[in-house]
Order: sequence, then C-alpha cells, then structure tokens
Amino acid sequence: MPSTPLRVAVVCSSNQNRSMEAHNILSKRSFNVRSFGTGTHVKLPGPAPDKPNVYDFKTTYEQMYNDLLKKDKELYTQNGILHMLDRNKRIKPRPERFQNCKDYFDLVITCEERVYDQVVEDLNSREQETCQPVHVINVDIQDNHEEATLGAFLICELCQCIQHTEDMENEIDELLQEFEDKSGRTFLHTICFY
Amino acid sequence: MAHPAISSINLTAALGSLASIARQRPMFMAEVVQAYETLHANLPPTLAKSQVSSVRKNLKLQLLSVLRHPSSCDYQGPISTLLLDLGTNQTEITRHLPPPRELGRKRAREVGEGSQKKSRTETPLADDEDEKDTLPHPPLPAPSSLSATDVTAEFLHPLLTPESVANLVLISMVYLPDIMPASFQSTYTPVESAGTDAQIRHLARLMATQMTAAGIGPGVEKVKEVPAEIVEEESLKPEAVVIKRRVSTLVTTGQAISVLGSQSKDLKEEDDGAPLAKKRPEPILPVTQIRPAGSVGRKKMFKLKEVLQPLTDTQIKNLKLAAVQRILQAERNIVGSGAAQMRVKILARLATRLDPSLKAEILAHFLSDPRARLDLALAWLYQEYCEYQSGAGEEGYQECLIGILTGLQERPDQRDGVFTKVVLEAPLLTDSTLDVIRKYCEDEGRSYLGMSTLRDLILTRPARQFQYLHLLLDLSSNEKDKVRQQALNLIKRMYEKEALHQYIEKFALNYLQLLAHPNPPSVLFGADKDTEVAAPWTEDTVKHCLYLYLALLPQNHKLIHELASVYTEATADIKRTVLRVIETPIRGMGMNSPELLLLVENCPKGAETLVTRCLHILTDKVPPSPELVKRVRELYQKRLPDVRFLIPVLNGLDKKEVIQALPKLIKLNPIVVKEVFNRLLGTQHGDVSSSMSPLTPGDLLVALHNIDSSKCDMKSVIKATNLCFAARSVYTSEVLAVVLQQLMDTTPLPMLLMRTVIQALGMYPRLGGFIMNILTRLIYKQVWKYPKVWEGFIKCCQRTKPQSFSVLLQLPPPQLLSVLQTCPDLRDPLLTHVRAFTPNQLAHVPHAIMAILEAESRMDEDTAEEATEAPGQDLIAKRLAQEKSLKRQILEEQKGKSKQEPMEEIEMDLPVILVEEEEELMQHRDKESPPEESENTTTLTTNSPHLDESMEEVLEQNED
Repeated sequence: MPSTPLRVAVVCSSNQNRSMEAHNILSKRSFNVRSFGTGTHVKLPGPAPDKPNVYDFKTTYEQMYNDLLKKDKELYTQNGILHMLDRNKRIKPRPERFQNCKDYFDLVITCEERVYDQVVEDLNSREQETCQPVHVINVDIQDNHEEATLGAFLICELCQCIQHTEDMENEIDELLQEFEDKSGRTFLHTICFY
Repeated sequence: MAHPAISSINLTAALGSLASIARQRPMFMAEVVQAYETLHANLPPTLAKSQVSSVRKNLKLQLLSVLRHPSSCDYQGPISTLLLDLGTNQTEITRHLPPPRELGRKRAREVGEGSQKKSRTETPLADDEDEKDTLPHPPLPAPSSLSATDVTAEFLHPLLTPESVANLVLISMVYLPDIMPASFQSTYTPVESAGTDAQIRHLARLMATQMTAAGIGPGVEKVKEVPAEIVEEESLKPEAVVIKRRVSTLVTTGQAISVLGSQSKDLKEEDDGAPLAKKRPEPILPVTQIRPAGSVGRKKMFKLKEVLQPLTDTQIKNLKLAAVQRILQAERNIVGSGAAQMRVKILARLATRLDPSLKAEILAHFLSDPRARLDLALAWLYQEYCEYQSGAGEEGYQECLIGILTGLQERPDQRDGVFTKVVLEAPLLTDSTLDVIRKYCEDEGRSYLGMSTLRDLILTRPARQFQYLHLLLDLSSNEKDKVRQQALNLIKRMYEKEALHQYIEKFALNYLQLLAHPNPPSVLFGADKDTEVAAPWTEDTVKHCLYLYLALLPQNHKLIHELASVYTEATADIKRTVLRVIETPIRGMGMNSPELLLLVENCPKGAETLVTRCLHILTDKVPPSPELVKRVRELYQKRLPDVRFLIPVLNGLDKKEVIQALPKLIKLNPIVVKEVFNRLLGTQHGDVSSSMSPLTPGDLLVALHNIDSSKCDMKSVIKATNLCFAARSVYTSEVLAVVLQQLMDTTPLPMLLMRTVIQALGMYPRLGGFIMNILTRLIYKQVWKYPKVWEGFIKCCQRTKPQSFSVLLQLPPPQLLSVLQTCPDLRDPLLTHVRAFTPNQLAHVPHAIMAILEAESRMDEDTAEEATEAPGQDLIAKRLAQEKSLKRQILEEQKGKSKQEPMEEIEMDLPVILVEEEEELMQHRDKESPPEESENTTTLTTNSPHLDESMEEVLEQNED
C-alpha cells in the first residue's frame, strides 16, 4: 500500500452532480480528493430540455442556488437541483474546470467517455515536465441523482482497492479486470504522464 | 512489435512514448507510423475487451497528435487509413492535418517555433539559423523506410482479384479460432465500399503489413538490398552511426518496431556484432492463437531484465561519453527549442555524477566559448558545490573551479570578464582557488581584471574579506611594476573604507617595521622560506617594505611618525633608500599637513636628515608656508641649531634672519651653497619665488659684502659672491650698479668692494663710465685708508687705463705717487696722456701732480732696475714703505683739509667733464669698431679668473 494517500480527481462535465457526489463520498472516506468539470460552461437543467441554465466556472454554487431559488423555487426543489447545490456549496465554493488545474494527481476518474477523451487529450497536450504517471479511468455513469449515488459508491470502492495495492502500476490492469467482471461494467483506462 | 504478453498499461505507455519520439525526432516518424500500423493489425491477444478499446482510443489519440506534427506530411496516407480504421471520421482527421501552407515552409517553422522538432539528419553540428533552409536537405528517411510495406502492398494490389481473395478466405477459414478474440470483436467494422479500388488498396496494405512483420514478401527482399547502398553513401557523414542504426533496424526488425527490441539489438551490435537474428523479439503469433476473452493471460509478464544483458564497463563508459557528447553537440538545436536550461541542468548533473573524462569533455566544451556557455559552467559549479555540501569531498568542487579558472586564464582573450563572473559567482573560494586568482593577478596583461575581481570579492564577501584583502596587500609589493601599481591603486581606494582601514594600515606598518631589523626578514623572500636570511638589505628589499606604506601616507599623514621612528633605527643603506623614495608621498601630503608640521616640530633624534629631506621636497617647487617656516624656525632656534634646516624655508624667513644665517650658510659644502643661492635668487624655479625671496639679489650681494670677517672666512664669501656673479641673468648691469652704489655708501668700505667692482666691469664693460665715477667717489672717501680696497683701486685703474687716467689725476699727489710706485708701468702712459692735453686743460693739472709724474719718470729707470733685481723679495718691505708714506700723506691731508676744500670744488667739475669726454669717446669707438669691443669683453672675461686668483692670493696673504 502506498505510504501516501492517493491524490484522486473525479471529473464529470459540469462538476455538479456525478463528480460532486463522488467527491462527497470519497472525502467522507478521507481520500485526498478533488472534483472537476471539463465543459466550457456549467450547465444545469432548466424549465425545458432545450433551455438549460448556463453559468461559467466562476459562479459559486451559492450564487447558482440563489439564482434558481429566485427563478422557480418549486421546480428546482422538486427536481432536486436546489438540494444538490446546497450540498455542493457545503463541499467547496464553486465548480472547477479540469483543464485549468495544474496540480498533479495519481488517479483521475471520469464519469463518461466524452469527459475521458477530453481529460486524456488535455493531459497529452500538456508539456511533459516530471513524467509522473497519472492513471485515467472512465466509469460510465448516467447523469441523474440515483446513478450518481451508485456510481459514487463504485468509484469509492475502486479507489479503496487501488489504494490498497502493493504496486499500483503493476496491479491496476488486473484489478480493473476483476472489477469489470464483478460490476459488469467496462472501464476505459489509460496512463498519462505529467 | 508488441510482446504478446504485454500489459495494457505498458502498451499505452509505449504508444505515448512512440508519439513523443515521432514528434521530437521526426526522422523516426517512419518507424513510428509503421509500429502503429503493425500494432493495430496485431493487438496482443491477451487484452481484454475494455483494454482493447482503451488501447485503440489511445492509439487514435497518439496518431492524431502525430498527424498534427508538420513532419507527418509524408505519412498522411497511412495515418489517415489507420485513423479511419480506428473509427475516426474524415472531418476530424482533416481538422488535425497541419495547415497546408506550413508544408512548404515547415523547416523554417521548426526553427521559429523553437520546439524540438528538428531531425538530426538535417542539422549538422554547426547549424546556422535559417540560412540552412535554403540548402538542400538530406533526403528524409521517409521513402526508403516506407518501402518494405509499400513495396509489398504494391506487389499485392494487382493480385487481389475477387477470385484470389475468395480463395484466401476459404483457406484461412480453417485457421479461425473457436472463439472470437476480443480484439477482433471490438475492431471489426463492416467493410465499407467493398470491392472499390481504395478498399483493395487498404486490404493490400493490411496484408503487406502482416507479411513484412513476418519477414516475407518482395518489400522485405528489396529493403535488404537497399541498405547496403545507403550505408555506403551515408557513412561519410557524421551522423552515419545514427543512420546505420536506423537502417539496420529496418532490415532486422522489419516485422515490428519495438523500442526495447531495437535497443537491445543495437547494443548487441556495438558489442560484438553477433548474429542479430537471435536477439530479435519473438515473431508475432498470428491471430489464430486462441485466447478466451476475459480469461486474462497474465502468466507471462513482460520483464525488462529478461530481454536485456548487462553491459561491459567499457561499453558503459563509451555509451556515457557518447551520450554526453551528443548533448554537448546538440547545443544549438536545443537552444532553438527552448530547452537550453534543461540541457545545462542535465550536463551539470552528469558532470558531477560521472567520471573525470566526461568532466574534461564538458570543460573543454565550455572553454571553447566561455562567454556563451557561462551558465553551463556555473550550473556545474553549483552542482559540485551541492555535492560538497551534502557530504562529498571538497576535491570535486575544487577541481571543477580550478579547472574552469585555469582554463580561462590560459585563454588569450580575457576581456570578456568571464573569469570575474565565475569567481564572483562561485559559492566558495578555496585556498588553492586563491592561488589561481593570484597567478591571474600577477599576469601583467590581466592584473587589472584580476584585481578588480579581487576588489569585488573584498567588498561583497565580508566573511572572508580579510583573506582576500591579504592577497591584494601581498600583491602590492609584487616585483612587477604594473601589478604593484594596480594593487596599490585599489588599496588606496579601499583604505578609505572604515572596515578595511585598520587591517590595511597594520599590514603596511608591519612591513615598515621590518626595516628596523639589521637583515631583511625571510618574509620578504616568500613566506615558505622560514629561515633567517643573512643577506644584506638591498634597495629592492627596502622598497618592498615601503611600497604600501608610501601609498597610504598621503591619505593618512599620521603614519609619518612611524616612518620617523623606524628611520632612526635603520641602517645607512636603508636611510638612503628611504630618502630617495619618500619624495612623491611627501609632496602628496603638502606642507600644510599638521602631522608633517608636528614631525618637523618634534624632529626625533636621528631623523634630522629625514626631516631636512622632507623640508626640501616640500619647498622644492613652491615657497614655504608661514606655518612651516614657523616650525622650522622654532626647531632651529630652540632645539637643533643646524643651519641646514633653514635652507628649505629661506624664502619664508625675513631679511634679517637670512642675513644672520648667511655666514653659516656659505660655509656649507659648495653644492649646498649653490642650492641656497638658487633659492635666494629664485634661479631655481622662475619668477614666482624670486618675488617671494626676502632678499633682492642686490640685497644679497650687499649682505655678502657686509659679512663680518670674524664670522666667516673671506674665501667662503668670495665663493659666494662668485655664485652671484655666475647668475648673470639676475645680476644685470643695473642691479650691479645699484649694489655698487650701496656698497659705496657703507662705512667702512667693505673689503671686497673693489673685487666686485672689477668683476662687474669684467661682466659689463659698458659699466666703465659708471665705474670711473665710482673710483672718483672713492677718492673722496679716501680710499687709501682701506688697504685692501686701495689695492683693488689701483688694480682697477690699471685695468681701465686709459679711462682711469683722469681718475688718477684726481688723486692727491702722495697717493698718485703710491699708485705709480705700485704700478710703474702706468706712469708713461699717464704722462703721455697729460702731455697730450690742451694748454687749457693742462692748466687744471696741479703742479704737484705734474711734478710727481715727471719726477717719477726720472726715477723710472732706478725702480725698474730694482724691480728686475728683486721682484718678489722686497715686496713686503716695499709695502711697508708704501704704508708709511700713506700714513704720512693722511696726516698731511688731515692738516690741510680745510684749505683743500675750495680746490675740491674745482676738481669736482673736472671729472664730470672728463667722464663726459670719456663717454663720448667710448661711444665713438663703439660706432667705429664694435668687433674690437666684443673682443675686449672676451679677453676681459677670460682674464677674470686670473684676476680672481690674484685677488685671492692677495687676500690670503693679508689674512696671514
């Protein structure tokens, strides 16, 4: 088991639901965890599917919460958005964009293939400096509250297993295979270097 | 070619590395693309389904990144095909193509972008900027390297008729595995546009890839032939090694490009050239091998160790050296790519970690252009220092620093200041480093640079300040003039600094104290010799002790007292040297220096010569200040009545004092006397001081005449007056006239009066008239009462005949008689002169005079006889007789003085007329024959020594 706790990043598109749910659970299990989005904007469901609420990454969860509260308290209470924002603002002030973060991680977990592609592309486009490895694993999670919770637990379990490996680089392939068998899901996995 | 058991994660990492290689070393692009092709067609069967998709995704990403690179243009075909196979749509591929305009100018862009894109082959060592762009480039490896697969594909293409393809399918059916492999499952895409030419080409290519990988087909055959030619061609170029390796890679591992595999083979090749085939990775297993998806075959993990063999020491060494050399040579490329800092860091690290031969390599590299590579040297130095700080010995650091400094010192051009920079930036200067710096400073051509470096060290490194200062102080007594001067200049400036003041002073005084030793201490001959030296002091060793002290003296006048005390103890030789060298510093101090005045006032016993010397130096060019005069006067009056002290300040004394001192002064040795007169007359340094002199030249001459004979012997006085006359420019005829006038007025008449008169006449014959006047006046002063003056009077008359005749005629008869007795030869001319008078004039001549003249002419024969008989014997007797007669005459005159008065009036008129006549005559003569006159003057001047001698003789006799 590595002496230092894994530095984990959980990434979804808007850094609201899936990544924050995982962030919440992982931090409760005392992981060194951060969460990110990869989109150009933060998008939240609106009154209709073609009218999402769009914010930039500078907007705090608090501001979003108040904004939505003003717009339609009932709707957003009913679809759980306000509840989610309320939870988020307790975790950190505002969403973060993965591409803007220059910190190093040992493990990056993405929540859908599109996000995985963006993360890998971003990591590959950076200038290589230290050649420290970073594993990128994609766990497909549908973007709703229930799946997010289930996914978060899966991610948490995965992280715990990885945390407990003797030699992460050597065992991760096998570990993922076992996990695939167990969960019936497939994981995309690659390694990049900082 | 991927090892069948390679794990997904290693494969991913390898894919990424390949892409990096392709981007950073475009010359390997062909191999990389080929490796991707091969992998794509032969994914390891052990991969699980999800791993296959991960790898494919990764492959796609890497291919796109390679495609984006400008050098990929030659490979766009195969890459696009691969990407299409991987499920990339055409628009995405197009989006990743490098902009077309770049294709033509891509090399220029490469330089401009500064990324590490340049391929080795196109950048010879001395690559120079963009000019190279216009030169023809060596052909890119592209065509030849693609050929193996391409040739086979071309070969296959026409063979793929529907019929043969169908047969192939049927045959291969037999080999199909029972279970569909995961890779096939995930990679299978329904064949688009089957049967079109593009699809057939694609198929041909797929098969060609497999065949090439297996080492069969016409492409492989052909490539095997080509390399030999290429090698021959390329072996002439410096990159031959690189190219050869590439080529051989193609030949032997044509089936798969695995980085590890090719490397191991390379080493092997270098090693002993053993058959390469053995080292080749295992041939790829056809996909027909059955592996159930999901059951992950991880029994046989890839182990790097198993593939590699340990290298021999020589190999390791050679590899290391070659690696370092490549890094060194890649300087320009790397600078262009913006990774210069990284390179420097790497080299610095390598230099500290690897063996000495590499250090020498790096040092030589640095020294070939120190200015540009200074950062490398410093990085290395600091790296060594880090090692030293972290427990390694000092040697590494010291060696490095000394190597750099010595190397720089040996370079001919030193104006670049690199030496200074290295010294100043070095984190630590060891003792042996200081030796190098000292050597540098002692080099005359570089001493300025060296010492200003030293100065900076002293000023900026307080911790070891005194160590550096000591070095600089040591240099201040260097035997090389330029070096010493340089050091002294710097020290003088530093002496002003509070912190360094004391140390410098102590050092200087320590050296000064050495002079008190009877023999020069061994310190002066280099510190290593500790033995007592018996050699005597030489001028050099004395100066050695004094340089620094003397330089400091003008800045700190208090130091002068130290010199005085050492001086009293020093030997005569040292004293002499000291007196010689103190001139400049003393002059630098100036006569207003309170300390110098104090020294004069106190004048330690034994240091009198030093003080006198100081006084001389101070007053050499400028008149003494009142303050200085005061001190000297006090010293002279109260403590040391040595008149020599007064000489330098003569011009500052008042007239009375000078006149008082004069008798003592003129008794000193002739050179000193001359000096005294130079000062008094201002003949030494022009008008400034002559105006300052307390005595006018006239005063001086008068004063000399008035010296009491009891205080000073005549001889000295005469010598002194001679000095005056020698200064002809000062003693003009006017001055002399005034002097004579004054002397005439003194009573009693000075003994040397007539001597001076005669000399004045000798110098200025045109004073003749004036002198006649003087003579006349002397008669009124009864000149015969002063025996010596009277003697001179007669001599003068003798010399100035016939002018003097009129004067002689005015003498009272007894005196005329005495004159004629002394100089019988005067009589005849005088008589002739009188007889030539007009009767009117003759009437004025008293009868008594005429009687004497005529009587004497009668007696003439007798006296002449007497003179011829005993010219020397009776001289004294004759004199006595003369004197007796003179006395008698005086008595008579005194009696008849009152009666003679009216006569005098008449006589007074006469000389005026006579003088006027004479002057007229002279003028006339001047007009008529000026050359004659000049002749006269010359004869007179040549005669004057005789005159002097005779006078002296006379006077000496008198003294006796």
